[in-house]
Amino acid sequence: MLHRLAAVAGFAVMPCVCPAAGSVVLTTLDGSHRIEGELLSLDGGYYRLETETGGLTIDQGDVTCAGLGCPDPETLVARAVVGGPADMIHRLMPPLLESFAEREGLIYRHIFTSDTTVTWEMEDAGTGLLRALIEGQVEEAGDAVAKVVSRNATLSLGRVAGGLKVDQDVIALDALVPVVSVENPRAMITLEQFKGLLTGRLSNWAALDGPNLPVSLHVVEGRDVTRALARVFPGLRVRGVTLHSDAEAAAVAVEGDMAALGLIPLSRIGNTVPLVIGGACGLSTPATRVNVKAEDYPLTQPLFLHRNGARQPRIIRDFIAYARSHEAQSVIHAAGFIDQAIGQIDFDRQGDRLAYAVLTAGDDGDRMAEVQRMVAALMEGERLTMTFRFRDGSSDLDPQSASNVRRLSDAIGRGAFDGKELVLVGFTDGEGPDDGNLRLSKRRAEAVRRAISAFVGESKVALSADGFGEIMPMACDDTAWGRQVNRRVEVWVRDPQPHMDR
Amino acid sequence: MNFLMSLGRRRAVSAVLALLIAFAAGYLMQVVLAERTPIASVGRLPEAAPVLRAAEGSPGMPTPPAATLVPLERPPVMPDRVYTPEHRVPEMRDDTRMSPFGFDCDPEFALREREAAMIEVRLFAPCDPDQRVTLRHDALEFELTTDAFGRARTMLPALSEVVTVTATLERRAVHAGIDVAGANAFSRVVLIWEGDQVFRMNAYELGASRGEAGHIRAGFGKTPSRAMRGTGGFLVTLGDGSGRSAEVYSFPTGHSPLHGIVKLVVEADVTEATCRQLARATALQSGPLGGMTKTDVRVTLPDCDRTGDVMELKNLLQDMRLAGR
Repeated sequence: MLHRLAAVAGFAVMPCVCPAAGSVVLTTLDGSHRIEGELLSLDGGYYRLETETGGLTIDQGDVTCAGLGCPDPETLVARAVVGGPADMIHRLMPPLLESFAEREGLIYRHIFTSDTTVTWEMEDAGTGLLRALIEGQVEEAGDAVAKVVSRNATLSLGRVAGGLKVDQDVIALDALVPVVSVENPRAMITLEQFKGLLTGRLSNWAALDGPNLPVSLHVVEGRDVTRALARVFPGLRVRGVTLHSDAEAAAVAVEGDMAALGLIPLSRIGNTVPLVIGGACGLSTPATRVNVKAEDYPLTQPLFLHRNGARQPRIIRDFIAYARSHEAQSVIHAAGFIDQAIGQIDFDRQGDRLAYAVLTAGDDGDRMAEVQRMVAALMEGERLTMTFRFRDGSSDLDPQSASNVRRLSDAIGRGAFDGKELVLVGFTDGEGPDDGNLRLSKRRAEAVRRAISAFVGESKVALSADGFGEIMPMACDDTAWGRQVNRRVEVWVRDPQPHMDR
Repeated sequence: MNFLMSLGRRRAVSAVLALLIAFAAGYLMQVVLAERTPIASVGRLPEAAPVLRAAEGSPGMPTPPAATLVPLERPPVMPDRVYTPEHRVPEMRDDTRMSPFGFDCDPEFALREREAAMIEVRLFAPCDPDQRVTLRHDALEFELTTDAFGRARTMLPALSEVVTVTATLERRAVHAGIDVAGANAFSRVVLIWEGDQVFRMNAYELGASRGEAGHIRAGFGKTPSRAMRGTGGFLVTLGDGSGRSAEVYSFPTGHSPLHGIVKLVVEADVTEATCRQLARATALQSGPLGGMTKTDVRVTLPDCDRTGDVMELKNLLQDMRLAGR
């Protein structure tokens, strides 16, 4: 307790993000350079100095400080402000910070001050000195990002991509799911039916072969929802929908109403029951962890961590690196979100899709030959829960897939696939001629292979690329979303096959 | 045996003595027959100092904790208690170490497992009548007062499979341990406060609304046997209303067939006494990292023009998720 008081007192006298206090001389560790100036601040790891020739920022680790203006490094406290939605601030951040602190040997303290504000402290276990003071603020996604852009916040969390002015990472996944109350016996809805309900074209469960009851629709308001819907239903105009400001209110409304249908993030469905999204062609995708991870589920929502370009205190940088790391994935999972640890799916689990591929190949000999070539190539392998997809009408990877390049490269670097072969397997939608699609799928797979190769460099993993055109769709091609999901590069892991081209 | 019976000492000495004889007879049956190893007496300490598991966090006590008591059900593995000379305090009448009623001053402290991974705690500290006693198990802490005979008894929930409970009196501390195999089948949420209660826990089970059967809160806490049936949780209030107290809500997440969530909301009345005041508490909840996660609660209540309102905190505790099976 005494240590703690000392730390707080030190902080009060000498706030570390401090407009300070006197001239200092910084000397590089090898003694080769001396810089004299007025110390403006020491922002957890960086000296900001006003010198005769102008402002300078210097990494604290590179220099020694002499002079009255030098702060006592023991009393340095890294400060950060993190904005985001309530579930990410109150449910995701605490275990992430706690496990990070444990890994760093720091004492973690979680101080709840209101439903919208929280403070996290990390303290040196040995000296009892405060090392980091992080404030969490519950905010609308847009506001949180705006604060990061304007540098009034260090980090923001949210379900909306941050635009060009921020750096961002996908740190977890969620998904919007159609839900009904437990009393409603329905198990599936097609995308077309769902779209009909959202636009007001359909308004009664009877139109979905259900009881004669008007459907009451509950949707969570927010740009993330609008964007996710727009991705699946381009140009959608929603009508006759009750908008809720937060997921909990929407879940409560649905849970008590047998005629209700809601669209709610999977992590917050409360007491409602999710429906499987199906297609008219017979392919369907339940919102399982694996489907969401692989982005095979239509309304996947990446959860972003945004930061601005400002230099962050070292402990904050370390935390960001931790939150992105393989190590943090089990914590993210335990906190009730979908993590991005790379899982593997047996070939056997492709049963539905494979059956569909065989059925649609029908009498087409060439196509059946391709199906056989695909089965031969993949049947001994396992598909990774990581899929590369592209922005609409382009060969640019979407944000989640861009993160995937780093995560797959990291996994290869960790040795997760040593001695194995990774095959990037391209597929297309059913638009256009077969042979054109075959070439396109191979080209996309090769592009992803090159991107990963460039990231990884030398490794003990064989990387190859292959493509099978349109023969194994994941979703029906009758919607824009279905086609988008079908344009993909899957990653398969198998024992090396020396005869295959690298 | 009416354990918590309390009578005026001076006015009914004979009645008390009669009771005591009955009580002592029962007690001796338990204590003496439990084959305790003899007490190491002052001046005749064992040559090798026994390993002492001292109770934590009780600095400044005239009698630092030096006793390890194991529950009566188990054979002790080391001397029950060892008093070194510096622990002697004259006021304690250590020369006799007897209470006015002739009982050994050393407290008896026993734990017994009850249903729903609850633990029955019984303390008999003959030389500490009418005294505050703090009970601590992991981060759960609350206070009771011993009765005129130095007895205190309560139930508390096991927060882990290996449980140690410490009872700290003004002049001594004792602890006891017990294994509770079923503890991890329960998700627990704990709210601890000091002094007057400001925060109250509310559990809304599986979509229950305020006032419905599934709305569990103090006064409508349900019983542990409800949890044993897997149909819902229960809430207990620990402590005697002064000093530190706690509310604990338990749900059998490990063996419940139910699917859905238990929504946990903490409430505080805005009154003339609480408005604009900083209210403190400690919240513990079975967390995603395993074990209990601890939250310091430091909430300023709304302005006094909102006196009569109820402040709701929805984000302090995380909803419990029931996977169903």
